[in-house]
Amino acid sequence: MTTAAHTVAAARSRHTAALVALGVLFVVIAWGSATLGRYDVPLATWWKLILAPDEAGIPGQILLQVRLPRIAAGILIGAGLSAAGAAYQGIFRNPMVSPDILGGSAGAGFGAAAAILYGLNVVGIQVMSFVFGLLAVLLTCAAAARLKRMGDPILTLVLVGILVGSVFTALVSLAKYAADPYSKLPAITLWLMGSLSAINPKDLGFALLPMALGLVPLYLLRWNLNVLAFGEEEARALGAETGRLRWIVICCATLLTAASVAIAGMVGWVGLVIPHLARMIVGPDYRVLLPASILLGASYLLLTDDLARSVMANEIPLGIITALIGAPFFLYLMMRSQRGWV
Amino acid sequence: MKLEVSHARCGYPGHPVVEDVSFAVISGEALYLLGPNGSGKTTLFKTVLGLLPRKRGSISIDGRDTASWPRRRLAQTLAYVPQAHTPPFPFTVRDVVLMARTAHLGMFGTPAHRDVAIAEEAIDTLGLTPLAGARYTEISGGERQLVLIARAVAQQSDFLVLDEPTSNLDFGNQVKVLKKIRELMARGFGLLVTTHLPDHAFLCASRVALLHHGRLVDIGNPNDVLTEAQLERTYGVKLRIADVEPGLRVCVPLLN
Repeated sequence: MTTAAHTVAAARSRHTAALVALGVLFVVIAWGSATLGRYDVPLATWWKLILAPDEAGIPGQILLQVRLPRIAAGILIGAGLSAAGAAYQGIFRNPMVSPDILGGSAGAGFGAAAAILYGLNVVGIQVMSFVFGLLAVLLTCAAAARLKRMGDPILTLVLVGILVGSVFTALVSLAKYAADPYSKLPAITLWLMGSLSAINPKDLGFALLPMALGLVPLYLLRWNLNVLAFGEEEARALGAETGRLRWIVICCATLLTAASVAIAGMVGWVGLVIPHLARMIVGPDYRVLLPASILLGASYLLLTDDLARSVMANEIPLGIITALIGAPFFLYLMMRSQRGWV
Repeated sequence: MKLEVSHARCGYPGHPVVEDVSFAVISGEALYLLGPNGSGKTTLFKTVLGLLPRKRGSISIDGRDTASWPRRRLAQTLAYVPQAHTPPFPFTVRDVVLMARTAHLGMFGTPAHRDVAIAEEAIDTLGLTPLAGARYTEISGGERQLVLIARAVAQQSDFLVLDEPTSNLDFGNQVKVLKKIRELMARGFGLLVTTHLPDHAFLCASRVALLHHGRLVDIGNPNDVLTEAQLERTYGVKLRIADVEPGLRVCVPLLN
């Protein structure tokens, strides 16, 4: 029994060590991202900003209005998409699942495209994007609930999600087709590529509440997410209220996805790749996997955004970078992993 | 304690599989459920576990009907030991057993030290301590079955429902599982076990229920229920039952 207690303690301290390491990595990357940029901000300005924000001048304003909001948004989006992806992989019992599986991203993309088409301002675009993201998932869930008799509720959800997603993708194409090719079409296209370049403090305020509403319950449900990996019947026999659990997770993940698409456009692959990477580092236990995914996702998005704003003279849209890095990196993880879907 | 099923009708909408089945399981005994494929064994015990809605009749624990019980309360009373399978993620044996504690936690809860200690004790009971840190996805089928039994023990329920716990196992592992079933009875659990092998019922069953076409053919002592005539009728094959030595009865099919 003492050896057993010993190994339990060893496993736990290994998890703690991994989380601490990921936390340090995150802080370093966040600090590096804050100092990176065309406008060099001396260390003294940082102090001034903290002690007397009014006297920090233009460099201080750049930090407060542009760089820090951008970094905060990167952290929120990276953390949110990764947590949503990790949770979805658990409830769908499939490591190939990403947060857009129920059509949320496609819906949010259409909302934004429609808003741009109708010439709405930034707030309008964000609200439309968010609302249509929620609407798409609601549609998927409502249709899936009516198809209850088909049996496996998870398979039904995924199938309906694909259908709803492709309808909204077609609607995005329609919006593009109808858009003025000289002004609105490029705006829609660029927006769909995803970017953090236009983030301001107001956008951050817009996304903060849905992000918090999504992240906190997911974190609290981390143990029950483990049990779902054993499938509907077994999880229920173990005492989990699987139905209620699934709806809460879907609500949270949808809030996270819709909010991130609303302020940054389509940032793909994060929600698929990061949970995988986290699982390779800390294992499948959601008590560790979820915080690890959050830390890694935030770090990863900051890094890719650093690349987006520093590689070329013009900014590269973030969505292009996350896909360019994410897809090959995922292939690498698949080839490295000797034990199937680790 | 007493798990009682009375006049149960179980099945799917418009398609009853089990009709008017009654039996009881008492703490410390093992009721073995035998019957051909499609006779309704799985449907019956999924209904007992509350995984399928019952169509008629009642299922009760010490006289209290379980129909309206929330999942947690059901899980604190009845534990399910499914056939060993592979989950999509490589949890450790320790994590898998610890999952049993979900029945004792709130929706937002995570296991505390006490839960970890209970899981470790269950792992020890099943002799799995050397495997505790191994990945559940990488151990053998027999070991996985023992892990699932350990998980049911850690759930601290009064009754265990085991779905063909010896199928897909080699001979040695089957014997290991049978020994554990006897130990669990001795520890005071009430067991409901399905099997395809009359020999295993002879070895471990306190009582046997024989199911055919969704109806209970007979229920009682293994020696009274598992007779040549009844088994031949139920399975449609010829067979012999013989005593190898006093108290050690076997069933052998005749091939021509």
